[in-house]
Amino acid sequence: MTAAITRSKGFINSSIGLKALMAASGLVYVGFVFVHMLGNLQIFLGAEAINVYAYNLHHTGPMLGKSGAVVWGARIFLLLCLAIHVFTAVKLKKQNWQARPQKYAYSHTIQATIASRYMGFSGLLILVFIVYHLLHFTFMPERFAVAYAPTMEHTIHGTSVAMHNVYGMVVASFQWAPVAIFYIVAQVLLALHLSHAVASVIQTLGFDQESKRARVQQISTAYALLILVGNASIPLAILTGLLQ
Amino acid sequence: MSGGLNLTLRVWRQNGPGDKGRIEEYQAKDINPNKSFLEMLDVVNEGLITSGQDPIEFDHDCREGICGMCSLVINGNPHGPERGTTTCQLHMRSFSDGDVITIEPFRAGAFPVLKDLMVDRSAFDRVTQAGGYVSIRTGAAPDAHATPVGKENADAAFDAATCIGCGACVAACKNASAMLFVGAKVTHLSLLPQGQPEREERARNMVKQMDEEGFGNCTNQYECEAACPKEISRNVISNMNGDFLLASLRK
Ligand code: HEM
Ligand code: FES
Repeated sequence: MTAAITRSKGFINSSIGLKALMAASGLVYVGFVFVHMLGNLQIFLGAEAINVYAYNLHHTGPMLGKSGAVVWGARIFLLLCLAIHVFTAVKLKKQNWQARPQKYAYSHTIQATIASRYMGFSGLLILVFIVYHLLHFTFMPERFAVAYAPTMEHTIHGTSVAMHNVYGMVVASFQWAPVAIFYIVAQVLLALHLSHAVASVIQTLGFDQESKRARVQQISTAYALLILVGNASIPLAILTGLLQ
Repeated sequence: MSGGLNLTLRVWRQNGPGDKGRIEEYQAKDINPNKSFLEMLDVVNEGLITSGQDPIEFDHDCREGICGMCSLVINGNPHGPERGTTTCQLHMRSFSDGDVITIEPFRAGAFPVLKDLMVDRSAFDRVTQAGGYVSIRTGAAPDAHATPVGKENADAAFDAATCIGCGACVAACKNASAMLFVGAKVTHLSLLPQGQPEREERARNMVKQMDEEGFGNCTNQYECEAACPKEISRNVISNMNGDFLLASLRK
């Protein structure tokens, strides 16, 4: 038991251990952003589709307050992964600064991509976005979202239920340009982060193969673009009046 | 020989480990473009010595690209602007008349400056001592095919073994990470049958020593691979990561 603790301490204090934790926790979010996007895109199917989807999501498992146990479980797991990701990012970054106490007078890069050079920056802004996004749509819509009709009636299994009007909340919020634009900018930064991140995971976890490398980077970039187009389409559609 | 180059050198001068150091300017006049970069510095040093000044200290040994002693960061490029070339094999024809060339030492906390452009790279020796070997009986050389090795593995192990341990990877990395070097050492042994018994221990011990020396962490930008005079592939880092992670899972 103590041996196991010493070993895991050694692991999380090692460079590659930290990197692997960062990659694994990031990978969870790579999966999450895709599923989250699919859920959100139901807004294009109309108010009923997204409201009922959100209602069902929040009523899965035994209820704990306003949400079901499944949602709470996912929240705790995601929060844990975010904490690991940010903790490892900060720790690695600090070590990296210490490793080069004296900078070059003439600095130059040969092949580092833009995305790779701004991972800390894009990550930090994504973090700011995540905090705002949670306050905005999850925990304090009454304070952070533009006023909207809070509930709407839809029929589930033949009975009419008054449920949270997610559709109204999102549409009202994105009709205000500054919020919509902030969301779109955040998605651009997320795409930048992802375009380096997905390919990085392969390298970090030890699966790089020279023959597959170009393909891995293509997939990484394509995935980033998919998330960008999918997520940004929502504020864009509302801002342009396509959805109302 | 016509067409000698006239260059302005901005050189890092530092009297010793404790000195703060500064950039100083020198003129290199009428340099034959067929000279190597180090020969150009020899000419400048001749001038400094004759005028009673301290010559610019820099590391070198074989001057044929195999020993790994030469270093220098030239206009932000470890070993200069040519790919797959050590500083000793870099020729002045890669520069143009009138160029301003900034010359700095390899910069890393783990590579403290000894004097001017010369740094202490013994951290690499300690990393190698931590696991970059195989504990086998030596004696007479075995027959060439006594232990069969697959062609792909033999090639990849050989590519990794071309590392000359110069430290350009550390110098090029914005995090002063040594992972290309350590990856090369780990890969070269872990792909061969002789390296198997100590494979996991090797990855664990070498990474531990690398971390203790204060090298940074890879951020997958691959500047190391681009700066490596032996063009060692980033693939060796992935291999090392794999070995280290497997070793950590198992034990
Ligand atoms: C939805 C959100 C996010 C996703 C999907 C994500 C995903 C990833 C992935 C997969 C990696 C690659 C790990 C590797 O193999 O090196 C990564 C790296 C990184 N992430 Fe995130 N991340 C997210 C949010 C954040 C946040 C909020 C921060 C910081 C506050 C952050 C900072 C970083 C940093 C600094 C790196 C290291 C990049 C490097 O090695 O240069 N990320 N991210
Ligand atoms: S002096 Fe030996 S490699 Fe350059």
